[in-house]
Amino acid sequence: MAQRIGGRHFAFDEWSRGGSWLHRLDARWKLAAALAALLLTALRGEAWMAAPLPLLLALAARLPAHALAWRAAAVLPFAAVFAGMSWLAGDSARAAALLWRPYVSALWVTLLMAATPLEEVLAAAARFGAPRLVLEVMHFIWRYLGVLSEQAWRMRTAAAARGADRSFEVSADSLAVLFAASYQRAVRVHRAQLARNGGGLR
Amino acid sequence: MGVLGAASLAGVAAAARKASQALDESRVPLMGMAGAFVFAAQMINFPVAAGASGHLLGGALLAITLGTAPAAVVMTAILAIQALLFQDGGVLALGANVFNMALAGVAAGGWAWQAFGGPGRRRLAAFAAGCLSALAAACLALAELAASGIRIPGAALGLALGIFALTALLEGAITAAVAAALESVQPGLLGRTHGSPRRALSGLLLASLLLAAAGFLIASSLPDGLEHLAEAIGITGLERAVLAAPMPDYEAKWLGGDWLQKAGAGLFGLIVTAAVCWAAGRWISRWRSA
Repeated sequence: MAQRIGGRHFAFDEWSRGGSWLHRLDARWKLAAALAALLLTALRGEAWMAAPLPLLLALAARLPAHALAWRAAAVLPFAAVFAGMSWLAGDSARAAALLWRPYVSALWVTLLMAATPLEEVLAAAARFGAPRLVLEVMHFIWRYLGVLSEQAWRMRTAAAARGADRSFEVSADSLAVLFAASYQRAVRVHRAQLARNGGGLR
Repeated sequence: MGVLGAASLAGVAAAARKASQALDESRVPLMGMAGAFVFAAQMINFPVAAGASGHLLGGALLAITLGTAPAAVVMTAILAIQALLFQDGGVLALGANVFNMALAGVAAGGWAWQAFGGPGRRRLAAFAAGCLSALAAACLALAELAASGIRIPGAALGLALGIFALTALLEGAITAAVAAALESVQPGLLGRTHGSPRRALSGLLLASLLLAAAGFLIASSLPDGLEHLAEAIGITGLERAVLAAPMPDYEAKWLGGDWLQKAGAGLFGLIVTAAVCWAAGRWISRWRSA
C-alpha cells in the first residue's frame, strides 16, 4: 500500500532520453501506432500472439526489455482477482483474456513511454485533439510528483520518530500541512512562470 | 466498455471546458500540484482497527478544495498518469476508471459538499462527500464488471460490498479530518457552500435514479449472485413478503421486453416510494409546526 514513490518510478525519464531510431521517430507516429496496437489488443482475440513484438522493438531500441516486461506486470495483481473468479466459475477462456489483455496492452504502453519523453507524448496528444488542460495538469503532476512524495515521506519518517505514526489525527494534520504547502508551492511556481513571461513548464 | 470510454471522453471534455472557463492561468499550477499531492498522500497511512490501515483516495477532497469541474480534470490526469507511467489500473480500463472515479466519484463528492455544507455542518458535509464519492465509484465499478459478463460469486459480491462500505466510511473520515485540519492550518482553502435543500433534493433524486439503473443492471445480469447475497443477509423471506406482494416477480407485465420490464417496475416503485416519503415529510413538518 504505502510504498515509497522514488527512483525506480522515474525510470521512464531516463529510458525516454535515449538516442535510438525509435527514440528519434516523430512522437505523433509512435502515439498513433501505440493507439492502433491497443485497439487491436482490445478487440482481437489473437492479439496475444503479438506480445513478443513490443519486447523485440525495445531490444532493437537498446531499451532494457526485461525491465519493461517486469514493469508491465504491475497490472497483473488486480486483473488476477477477476481472472481467478472467472476461472472458478468455469470460464477459463475469459480468465485467460482477463490476464493477457491488460498485460499486452501494458507492454505497448511501457514501450511508448520508454521510447518517448512524456512532454512529447502530451504534445502529440494535443495535436490529436486531447483537452489541453488535462495534458497540462498531467505534465505538472509528473514534474512535481517526486518533490511532494519526498516531502510526504519525510513527514512519515518524522511522525514515526516521534512515535506518532499510528495516530489518525497526526496523519490528518500531516496531509493538511502537505496540502497547504503544495498550494503555496503552486503560487510560487505561477509567479516564476509570470516572471519568465508565461509559457508553461519549460 | 467502449460506451463508457466515449462517455468519459465527452464528460472530461465538458469538465475541461467548464474548468478552463472559470479559470485564470494561476489555477493550472494549483491543479497540477493538487494532483501531485493526491499521489504523495498515498504514502501517509491512516490506522484503522486491528493493525489495518488505509489512505486518502482524494476525489472528494479535490472537489471540496478546487471545485467539481477542476477536480474532475485533476482526477482524470491522475488516472492517466497512473495508467501510462505506473501501469496501475491499465490503459484498457482507463475509460471506465475515469468515468467511475474522476466523473461520477468527484461529482458525488462535490454534490454532497454543496448540499450538506451549511454553516456549522462542514465536517459532516466533508464526511458525506468522502463517503459518497468512494461509494459511487465502487458501486459503478462493480456494476460494470457484472455488465461485462464476469460472473462474481455471491459470497465474493457480499464481501466486496462490505469492503466498499468500510472503504467509504474510512474515506469519509479521512476527508473530514483533513478538511477540518486544513481550515485551522490555512483558512479559506475550502470551497464555499450554499447548503441549499432544493439542490440536495434534486441531487438525491438523480442519485437514486442512477442507483436504481445500476442496481437493475446488476440484477438482470447477476440474479444468482443477488439472491445469494440476500440469503446470506437473511432477507429472502422479507423480500418475498414486501416486494413480491405489490408486483409479482418484480415485473410490470404490461411493459414489453425483459430489461425494460424490470427497469420500469423499479422506476415505478421508486416513484411510489418517493411520493410516500414526500407525503410523510409534509405531514411531519406540519405536525411539528402545529
